[in-house]
Amino acid sequence: MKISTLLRKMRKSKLFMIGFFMLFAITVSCFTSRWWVQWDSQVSDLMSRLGAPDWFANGLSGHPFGADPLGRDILSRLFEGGWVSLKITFLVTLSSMILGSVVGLIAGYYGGWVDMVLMRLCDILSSIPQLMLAICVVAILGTNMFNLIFTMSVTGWVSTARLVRAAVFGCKNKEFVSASKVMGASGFRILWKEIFPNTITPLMISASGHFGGTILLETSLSYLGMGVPVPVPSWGNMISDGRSYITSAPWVVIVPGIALMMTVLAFNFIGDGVRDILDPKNIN
Amino acid sequence: MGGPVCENSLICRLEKVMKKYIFKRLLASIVVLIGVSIIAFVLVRLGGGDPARMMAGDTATEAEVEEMRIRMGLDKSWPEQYVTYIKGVLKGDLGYSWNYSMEVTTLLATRLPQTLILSLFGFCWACLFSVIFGMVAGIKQGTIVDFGAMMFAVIGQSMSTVWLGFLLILVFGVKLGWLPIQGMGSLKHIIMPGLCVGFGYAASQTRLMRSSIVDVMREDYVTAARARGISKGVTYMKYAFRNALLPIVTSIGVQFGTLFAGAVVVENIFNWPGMGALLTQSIGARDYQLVQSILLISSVTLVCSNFLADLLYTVVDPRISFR
Amino acid sequence: MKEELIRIENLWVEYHSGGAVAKALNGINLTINKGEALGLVGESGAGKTTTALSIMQLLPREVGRITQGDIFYHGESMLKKKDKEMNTIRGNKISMVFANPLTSLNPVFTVGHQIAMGLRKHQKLSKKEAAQEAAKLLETVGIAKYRLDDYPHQFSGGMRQRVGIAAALACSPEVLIADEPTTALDVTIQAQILELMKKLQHEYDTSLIMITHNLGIIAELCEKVAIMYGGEIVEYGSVQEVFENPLHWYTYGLLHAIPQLEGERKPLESIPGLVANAQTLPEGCKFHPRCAHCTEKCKTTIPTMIRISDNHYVACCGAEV
Repeated sequence: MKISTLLRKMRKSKLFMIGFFMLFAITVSCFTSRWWVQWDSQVSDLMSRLGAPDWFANGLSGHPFGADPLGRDILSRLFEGGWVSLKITFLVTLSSMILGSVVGLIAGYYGGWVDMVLMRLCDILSSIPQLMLAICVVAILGTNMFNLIFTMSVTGWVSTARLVRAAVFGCKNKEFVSASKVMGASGFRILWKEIFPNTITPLMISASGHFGGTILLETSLSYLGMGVPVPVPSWGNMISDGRSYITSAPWVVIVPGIALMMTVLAFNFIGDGVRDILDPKNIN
Repeated sequence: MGGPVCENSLICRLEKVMKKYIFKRLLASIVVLIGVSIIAFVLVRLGGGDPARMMAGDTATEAEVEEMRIRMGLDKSWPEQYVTYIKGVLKGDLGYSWNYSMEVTTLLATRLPQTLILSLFGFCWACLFSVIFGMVAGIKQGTIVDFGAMMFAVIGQSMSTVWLGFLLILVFGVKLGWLPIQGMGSLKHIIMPGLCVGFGYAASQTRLMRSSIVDVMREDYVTAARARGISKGVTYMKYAFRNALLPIVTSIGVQFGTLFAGAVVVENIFNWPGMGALLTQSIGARDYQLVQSILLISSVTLVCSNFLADLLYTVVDPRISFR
Repeated sequence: MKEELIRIENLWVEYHSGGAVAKALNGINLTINKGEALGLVGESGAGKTTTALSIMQLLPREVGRITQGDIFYHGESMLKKKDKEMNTIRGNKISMVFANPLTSLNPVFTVGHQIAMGLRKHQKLSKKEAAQEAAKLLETVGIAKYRLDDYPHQFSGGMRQRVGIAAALACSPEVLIADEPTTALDVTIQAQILELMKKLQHEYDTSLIMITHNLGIIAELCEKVAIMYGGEIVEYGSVQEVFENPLHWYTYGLLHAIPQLEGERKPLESIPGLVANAQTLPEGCKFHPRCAHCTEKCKTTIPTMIRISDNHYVACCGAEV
């Protein structure tokens, strides 16, 4: 598909556009927050511990969404945490896609026992629930940002690998691949130049569906104490922090939860939109 | 032709399918489970930390630690340890939990059923709810019911389990005081964790069921059934329904796996004494054999649920036969 | 005069989807008498299937709408009937064979069940009785009865269409609507199916509405023929009269687009242009953009149906004297 057709289809897809603009707004406000929020998200002020939200009554100099158990401003943490969560999500999705497509390409292209071994590996990995596997890996590696991203990536590439492999199988016996072989292209060149472009569509569909799940997984891991280590905020650990204060200070939990939901919503919209746009079944 | 009368009866079809299929499937499952056991075995040992020292206590002398190591069987090489473990597993002995000072088999015998009950409860309500809700929404396209279903689907898929759990606790446990917020015992105890565990699944399946029924209603065979004088209601409920169910059934195995894993978090939120809560506690304590066994048991559950789902699929869709 | 079964009066049907309106039927009149076989001919999109679905009252809901006119069955308006009453007519008095046997049988129910469906509903047979009856029907259409419990995917296309015919004939309907029953089949199978339909039509003394774009089938099976174009009937009459002496240029074109096996070889005459698009129908005669004999009058006035003889009617400006 040409870029211009793709753009036109994207513009026409309502779901995609809604999702895209939501995500754009969220990303931009999270990224720029460091210049306009009034409070340092990691500095606690015990005077305003669990302070109730004042809903912008004092503008940005108050605590519009209240303060958390350590008296840190929730608004500042929300945006900074959002940036952290988004960063993690993008990096994890990117690396799982790379891992998944490398495995899928190799398995699909070389076939035979290579394929057998890799696919059995996929079977094995996918028969351990991702969350459980992730818990074990993080617990073993220790909690830090890099380990978290690494863990979520190595446990999340299997479905992508399968999709890519299927796409490779679909095109590796086509004439253009044979033609390339006849002309003496190397295996790597064929993979990269002829076959890989044909896996981009399933890859994009897979990637766009991956974001939402990743950011939700981060929340679950955070709750189990295996997410982003304190004091760096992430939406996951902000929600988890509020567990004990759910009765007295529900905003501590509710605010980041809504932000998270909006973001996942945006990701899901984008995912659906991309599927609509790229799925060959939807020609119109 | 072998008894034309029973050719397509459920039992016969299942029998035929099973014989050929089970063997192949069993073989593949064994490979998978061996793989899982190796991964689990290596994984827990990669983490560093010395379980023998942890067990012996801070004040233990070097000799005591060494003695403990021998008692725990950690002085042997990895392959030896693995073989010992697998031999035990085959005999139904999943090893010994140092942290809990009891047989893993005994420990899991009380914990696994709790996790299964919770996941099955979540799974069942989610299935029932989503199939009915999605069906009604699809049939009544463009109405308020349809809109409601779409909203539920979109929002439900975007909610974090943790957050949903907290909200449930806040609303039903604290503000309304209807339901206990943790532990287990009565039927009331399972409602909130069960809701929480099945929510995402219910949302995604509602959507799937809706689009599936919408597609099926456009099919010729639905018009054909109507052309034979079958009323709208019967056509949808009986004829379109079964076809619409197919995509749901296809993904049921995988979905149950996801749901089962989600139970880990939910158990921790609601203090549900299942396997998930056990896992998070024992992984920190480097309780090797317990962690290994939990991972192994989880994948056995997954493998079984996938197998059952495939069987179910052959029952619902006569076109599918296993090769 | 034979007894009149179905009369379509000035029927207009529109399809609405996504803001676009397609005028599928633009005022058609048609009568089907008892025991008679009528052929409905036209290119894809001429409104043949829409006519059939209108009679069955099974136009896709929300999308297809009858805007004007009525359909009478035994003199009673079908449009005024409730869905419940229609359910006692569909499959019982009027039944239908669908175009594509691969999609018109439900893949997850046995063929026996699908044949028995109508029987159980209309004749209130028990499960067992209905199964026996279905077995007989299967044999009538030439399929061994032990295959009753097989699923559609275990049959070939031709066999499935036989099943479709068996299901349609289950309750000995007065009218059988066959919507291109052979287009999806191999030529050799087509002949078998047609032979079967011909035989059964006489056996059951059923009126037949044969929808097709194959003129050979019409010549084979039908007594009367209606040629449709752009949602209108352009020519109507006995098969012999219309085929031997076509008066509408469209009919003429259709007849000359068939390769002849005998006689001197001549190049085929195709009808130029594209089939009329129901969303952008032209003014005047719907066929005029493709007609070689188009006049100024054709572009502006809609020709009315004129009577040539008792069994020949045509709607063409050129035929008006």
